[in-house]
Amino acid sequence: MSNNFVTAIKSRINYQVFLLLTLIVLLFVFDHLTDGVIMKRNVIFRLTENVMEVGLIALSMTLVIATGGIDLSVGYAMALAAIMMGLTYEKTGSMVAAVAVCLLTGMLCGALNGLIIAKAGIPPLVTTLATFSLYTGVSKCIAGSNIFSAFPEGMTILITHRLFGIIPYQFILFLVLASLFAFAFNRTRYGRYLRGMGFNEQTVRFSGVNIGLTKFNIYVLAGLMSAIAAIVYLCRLPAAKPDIGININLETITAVVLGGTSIVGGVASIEGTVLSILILGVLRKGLSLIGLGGDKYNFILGIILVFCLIGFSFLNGQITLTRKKVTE
Amino acid sequence: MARKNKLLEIVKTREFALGVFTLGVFAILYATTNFSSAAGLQSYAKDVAYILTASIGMTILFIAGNTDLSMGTTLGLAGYFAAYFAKTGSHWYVFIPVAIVVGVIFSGINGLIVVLFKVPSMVASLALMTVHMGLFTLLPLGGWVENVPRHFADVGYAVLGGVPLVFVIAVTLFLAALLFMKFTRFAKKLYAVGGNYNSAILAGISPDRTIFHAYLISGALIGVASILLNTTKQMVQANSSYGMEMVFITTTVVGGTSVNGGKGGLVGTMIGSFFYALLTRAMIFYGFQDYYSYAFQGVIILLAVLATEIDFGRVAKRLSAALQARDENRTHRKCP
Repeated sequence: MSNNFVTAIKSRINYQVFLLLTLIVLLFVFDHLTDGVIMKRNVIFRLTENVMEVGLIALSMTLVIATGGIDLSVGYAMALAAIMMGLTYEKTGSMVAAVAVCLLTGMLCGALNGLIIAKAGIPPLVTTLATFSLYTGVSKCIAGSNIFSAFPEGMTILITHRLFGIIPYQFILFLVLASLFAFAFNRTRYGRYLRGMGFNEQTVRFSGVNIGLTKFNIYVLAGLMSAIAAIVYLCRLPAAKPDIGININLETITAVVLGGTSIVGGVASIEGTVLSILILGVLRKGLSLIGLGGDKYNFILGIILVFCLIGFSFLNGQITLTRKKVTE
Repeated sequence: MARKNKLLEIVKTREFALGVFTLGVFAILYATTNFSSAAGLQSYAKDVAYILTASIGMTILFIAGNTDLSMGTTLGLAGYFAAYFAKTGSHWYVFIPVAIVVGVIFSGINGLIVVLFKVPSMVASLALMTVHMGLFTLLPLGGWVENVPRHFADVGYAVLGGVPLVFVIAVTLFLAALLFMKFTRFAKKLYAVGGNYNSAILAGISPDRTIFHAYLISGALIGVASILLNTTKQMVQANSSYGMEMVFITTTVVGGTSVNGGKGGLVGTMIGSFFYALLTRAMIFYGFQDYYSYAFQGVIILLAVLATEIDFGRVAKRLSAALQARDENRTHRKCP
């Protein structure tokens, strides 16, 4: 009787509902801790503002992790793209050229990753670890100690203009892109291939998919999203310097894993990533309001990531156990 | 005849080529800069000492098919605790074991997460790296130990017949590790687990236990490396060794150890350590900024990994086969 009840509840409540509940609980907890600051109309919509760069990268990172890969170089590709944008604007004075160069830089960074991973068969972790070092070095060589901040007047458009005066435009961009990604991932053949590659690459290869090309595309997409994130960042804080991408790779991976994506690939959900990005936004703002910003936020992120990894592997173990029982 | 063949085989290895290259760079530096002074050579030996010691740990993990990105921060924590104990008046026979124990504990936590929960080691250690960075801010004295006591620094400044004591310790450890990897059953288990996990299980090896023990050994080596590094400094700062794991990965990968596990050895890592320390020296002497080293590191890792993993012989074979096929096609067309 009680056993039936438990299984009934377990089947009803899925993970995304749990994430949504966590988000609401966190909002109320921080509301209590900060004496109602966080629930104010001005604050609650702007919570998302700081984590939108992370969010944009996390969308593509979900796809990368779904294929069983990972990209540690995203934050540094973003910094490099931002610096190239600043440099181009300084040299040419044309915003169009600057944006084009920024997007191109991001895609080139992703293409280098993708080429090495798909063509040479080097594990993605090692490849992107090496390229993250490379991109950091290149951006530091270009920028040195100077900061590119000579952008035109209207550059801070995302700060000065908001939809209805409160909703940040980058949040809307994020939602639009997220629904595109979710559609591509859940409803198209391409998304199914990505998921299949995470489970078993050989099977997908034998069903006639060009694995190398698919992988290459995914990493180029990750680079492109890093470049878009760089533009969003510069529209918020128009100062390009080499250390803007620091810790973004960890934050993105935490968001993706917290969203219910398995780190070994195969299981992924864009919806979960969107929810966990919102959770990170609340957490970041709330913690900084009660005086726990910076290093302590990263510390908490690290602990969340460790517990998510442990928890999911535990759940995976349970699932395989039940599967075994069913088959037996 | 047989002896000649053996010599040829040694000449053909990657370690030999790397060693010759390192010697060449060494000779150029020796001839053109004031690297040849006694102080220059001694500081080079001190650099090699800690890089070599920690790289042995990284190589053992790589051979077992795992890695540890939190090695740099663990090294910082171990060095900090050693200096903290030294400052409270402990002798060398207390603070050196303290560093080793701290290294073993933090590396052991990493190993436990990897083994018990089957989390990929890179992601687990990446998460732990941030946890360690957070721990730095909670440490007493804010993670800094200034004015390290005399008897702590004595370890770093001691010289045995012109050679720094830290270098002697590192070389002794390396020789011991070399014998260990050659003659013990555990070393064979490491190669088996890294080479093929499932075959290792079928051969009656417990991969989990082997990997966990590899993490413990690497933790102990990190503890020793933290002593070798921090005793040569005026001030011990826990977060100063953040990012140092890239150095150890570079030396290991350059030495020819496979990132997929199961292949590689300590001799290559040793030459890789000498090479890396020499490279950083060369960059200082020729006036390159510090940040060039990031780019160099990335390029070196990529090239080394590509050289290890890609079977260039196979590529050449396929190319020649394709060319042959094309030629045959042409002749067929000419006389149908």
